[in-house]
Amino acid sequence: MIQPNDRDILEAYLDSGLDDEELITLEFRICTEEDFARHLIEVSCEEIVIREWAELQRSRSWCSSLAKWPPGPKSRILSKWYLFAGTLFLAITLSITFIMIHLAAPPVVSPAENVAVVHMLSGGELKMDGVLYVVSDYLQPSRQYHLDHGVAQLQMGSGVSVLVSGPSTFQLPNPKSFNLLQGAVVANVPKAAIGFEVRTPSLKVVDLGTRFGVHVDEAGVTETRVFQGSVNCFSLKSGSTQGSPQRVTEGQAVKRSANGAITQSETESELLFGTCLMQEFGIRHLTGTLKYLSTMPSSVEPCEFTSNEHIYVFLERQSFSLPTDLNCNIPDQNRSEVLSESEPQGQFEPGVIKQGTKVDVYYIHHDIHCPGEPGYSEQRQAFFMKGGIRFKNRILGILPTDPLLLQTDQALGKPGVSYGTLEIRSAEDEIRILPDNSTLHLDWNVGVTKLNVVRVIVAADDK
Amino acid sequence: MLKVSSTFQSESGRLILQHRTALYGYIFSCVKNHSDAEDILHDVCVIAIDSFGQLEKKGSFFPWVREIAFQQVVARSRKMKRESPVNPHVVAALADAVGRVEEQKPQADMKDAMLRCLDKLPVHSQVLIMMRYADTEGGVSEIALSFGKSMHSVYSRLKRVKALLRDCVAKQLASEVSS
Repeated sequence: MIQPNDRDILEAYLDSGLDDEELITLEFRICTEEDFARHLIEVSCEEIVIREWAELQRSRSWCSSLAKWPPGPKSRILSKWYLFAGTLFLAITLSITFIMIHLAAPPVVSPAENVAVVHMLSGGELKMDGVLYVVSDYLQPSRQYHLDHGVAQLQMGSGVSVLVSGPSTFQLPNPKSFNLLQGAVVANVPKAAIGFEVRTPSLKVVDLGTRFGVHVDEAGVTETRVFQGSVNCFSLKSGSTQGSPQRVTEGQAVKRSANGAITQSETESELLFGTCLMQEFGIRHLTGTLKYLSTMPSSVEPCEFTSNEHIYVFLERQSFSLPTDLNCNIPDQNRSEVLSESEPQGQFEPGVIKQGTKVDVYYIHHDIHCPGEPGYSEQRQAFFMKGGIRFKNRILGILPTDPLLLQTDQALGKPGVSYGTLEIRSAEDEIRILPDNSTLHLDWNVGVTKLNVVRVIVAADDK
Repeated sequence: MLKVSSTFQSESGRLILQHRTALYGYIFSCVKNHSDAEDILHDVCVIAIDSFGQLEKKGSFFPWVREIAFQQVVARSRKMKRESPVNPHVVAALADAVGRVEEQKPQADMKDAMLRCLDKLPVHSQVLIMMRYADTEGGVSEIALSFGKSMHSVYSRLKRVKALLRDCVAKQLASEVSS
């Protein structure tokens, strides 16, 4: 016989929210009480209909209206959304009906089948049970994938873009969820997919409209960093969330081991997510002493950002439309493919990149430790540093001399960064462009009297 | 390979759509996981359409397709080896139950009525429902956190909204019968 609180119990059952004892009792009733089993079916059907309705509403970017809740005078706008969503629902239903009736293909397409597609794969192999996946392949839910090296970009069915760097092992339960067992990912979540979550053995990270990275090491320690927006982090124990969520906002990072508390993380982003971040910002590969930093310091003036170990690469502008024609050194189309030690600069010639061209702008910087700094050594006042950088797209030009750099600091530099006005920047000693037109090779004679700097202009993606 | 005639596809497709809510409700009751339930439902639909020609009495479509669903749930639960495996006795009991429910109260009618009622809800109730159901697990605590309310308060409010929905659905179905 149905009891007043049976509905609550059945909803908890469907939500997997009963303990073992309650579960045994309930299953006994299902097997022995016909009306109770019928009641469960009815509750289940109602829950499904409500869920499908909610999913449909959500798919139309309803999140933007949540900030206004409780609703104000603009609720009529929301109603229009519902009307639109209802029309869409009808259209989808009619389309599915048409397909089922008239086509010989499998009549019902499970949304779960299109959980994600491989959008890009670079420098590694993505496999599931020994089967190799390539670009444009669809990934299946509830399967375990492994990326050995390099980086893969997955386009989730929910619209989320996930960059995975190898070695990583992961599963995709559904288009809105990503289980990271080991490795590193950076998720870029559009507004329509707010609520996207990344689960690890110890942490659940729920997106609140953001770009964030999650890293799991071999010991199961999870670290997450928010690059933009905010996330909620939940501790997990045996797959279930524990306690209140911890809000993590832009620039913050937290970590958690298997049974520990969520604590602040001090690990450098580039150590955990360097490969993903480079990929996201148009850099395919770095060699030698070059190192990419996702955060540019507030000043790159002399003696402000120094190193004896690395030449640093920063992204200054992305998908930037040039406001005027840009005078710079462009690759010489007739250059010799055989590199000449004596004339490396002969690979470039004065030229112009046209106004309106969409470009990514990079700043390559090296400044040796200055007197008074801990790393300064009088014995090492000059030495060579080498390295290469391969961009995703074609190099359009470089700005390797002080006049060209000074002319463009304001227009192409990163807003808020101080570049200084002293004429001591240049990179005239050695910059070579390789035949692929996307790779620069640097061989710099680093001295104490000047900074080695070059600004590189690269074609941006067509978005 | 057996070529399925377009007549069979048309008829089987129509019948699957008619009983989709009940089938999904049954499968979800067994596996309690939407992703798994959707996978199983997909397999059931493919099998049903491929073998529709073997169904002798078209009037007994639902018991037939429910049997396919029963077999698929049991087969899937054997494969998956989850921490909490599906109880085959429960799967069988629910198969009987969904047959009776679909016979007495077709769930397609309930679905139509429920969708009309959801559209009639006040906007703030609709938003609450969307947040609860369109979100992933942990939703209620997140809703409570977002709006500075207790979880108990959010649960109570959800319960009231659902009670309103059930009343509305009952009235809709009753009016359809009387008219």
